[in-house]
Amino acid sequence: MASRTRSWAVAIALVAATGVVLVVLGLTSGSRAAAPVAADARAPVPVSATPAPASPEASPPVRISIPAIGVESVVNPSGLNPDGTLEVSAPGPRYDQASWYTGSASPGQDGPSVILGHIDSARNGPSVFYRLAQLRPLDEFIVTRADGASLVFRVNSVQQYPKNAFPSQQVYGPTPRPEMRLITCGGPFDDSARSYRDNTVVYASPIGAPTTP
Amino acid sequence: MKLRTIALAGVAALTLTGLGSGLALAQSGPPPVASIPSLTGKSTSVKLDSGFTDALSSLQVTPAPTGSATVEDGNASFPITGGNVTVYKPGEVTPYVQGMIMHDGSGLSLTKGDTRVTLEDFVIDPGQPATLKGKVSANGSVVAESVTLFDLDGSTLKPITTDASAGTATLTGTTVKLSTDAADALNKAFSTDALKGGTTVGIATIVVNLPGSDGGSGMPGAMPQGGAETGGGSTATGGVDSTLLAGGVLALAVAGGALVVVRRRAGARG
Repeated sequence: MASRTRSWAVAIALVAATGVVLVVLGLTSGSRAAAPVAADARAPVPVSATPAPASPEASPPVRISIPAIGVESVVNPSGLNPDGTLEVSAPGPRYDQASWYTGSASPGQDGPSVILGHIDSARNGPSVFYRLAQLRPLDEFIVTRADGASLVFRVNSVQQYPKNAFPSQQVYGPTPRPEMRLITCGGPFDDSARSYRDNTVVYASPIGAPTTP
Repeated sequence: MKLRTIALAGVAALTLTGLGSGLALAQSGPPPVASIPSLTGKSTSVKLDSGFTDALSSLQVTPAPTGSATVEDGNASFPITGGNVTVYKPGEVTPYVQGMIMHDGSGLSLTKGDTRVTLEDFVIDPGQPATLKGKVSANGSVVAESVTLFDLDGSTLKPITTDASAGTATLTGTTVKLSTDAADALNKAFSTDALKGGTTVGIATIVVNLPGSDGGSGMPGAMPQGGAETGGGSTATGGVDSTLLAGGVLALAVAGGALVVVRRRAGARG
């Protein structure tokens, strides 16, 4: 009888221990996700409505304004890392500012232009492109170039790609007209790798002729 | 024996919970047949229905293209300037054509005497219901920036076709119908009641460039590889796996219940 009771005790202890383990895992191991993507029904935010493709001379972007998500930022130049990936702003005064890949097209010139920004930092909360995934088709934003010209871009779509299956050709490949790509992180956060698993990519094209001061 | 049954049930529940979690993780929607995140051109054309053009003629309303639109041989054509489109296998996802197709800088004018109504900057939304919205102006003044001009009946849509040599994909067969709001507005503008919502305007054909099919300009510098490390995680939310948590609570409940039963039995014997 004693051995039978002992068997039950062991079984109960095992189930209880399993329960404790699962509760602990459940509270700690779930995926942490990037800032929620709002499914709001807000109207697209237009900043201009004068259509006409632009093709100005080359000039780097120096400022980006995205009224729909409250972004007003300086745009700094950035390059590539040794492994060929996009270089991003390091911790410091420029961390929360957007950056433009200097190997991409100047805004308004044929080909893809790439501006990227952090979604957040490791400790200090939201960064410049925290709400990028909330953009919607037809939203508009303004990029100002070093030569003073401003271009209005209209969002064509907002996509989310796993970093381990990132469609480089689709995002960075040749285009038959001026295009813009805005890039930040998204999706679940991998605590062990200290990295978001996805990237959010906003595809946009210019509308209206560039305006000069 | 009863306790053993409870314990086994608990373990079985945990196993099923784990399986359920795995299934949930593996679940995802069916893959699209084609997806173009940034449309770079081609056109939407509408083969105008004779019933519609005859109605306009009887009202002495003259249609004409505006901006970059063309009207030739009963076909109105509007260049695509942006947007995106994703096409699924019919029946797998509803609607099976999704996205938004923009046509900036083109449209149609309808003129009768001194009255000129312009419908421009069309945006096709193939959602449910599928619509074509646009800007409406009357004699040069904007009346509405974005209103539903046409209802789109996708039930007549034919399967997508692609032409590799031309680098295009074609969707044809959507029936374009005058929306009730547009009919009311036009009737008011032209002082008539002849136009009815639901009147067939024509059959639409949408031709889009396939990505990378027309060369284009690449980056002046090296093309980056892969995505970007643009986050540190301080705003990431969540961290609770509700399935594991529920399984754990269930296991603890089973263990607790079993313990109570064992103690009661032990007490009864003592």
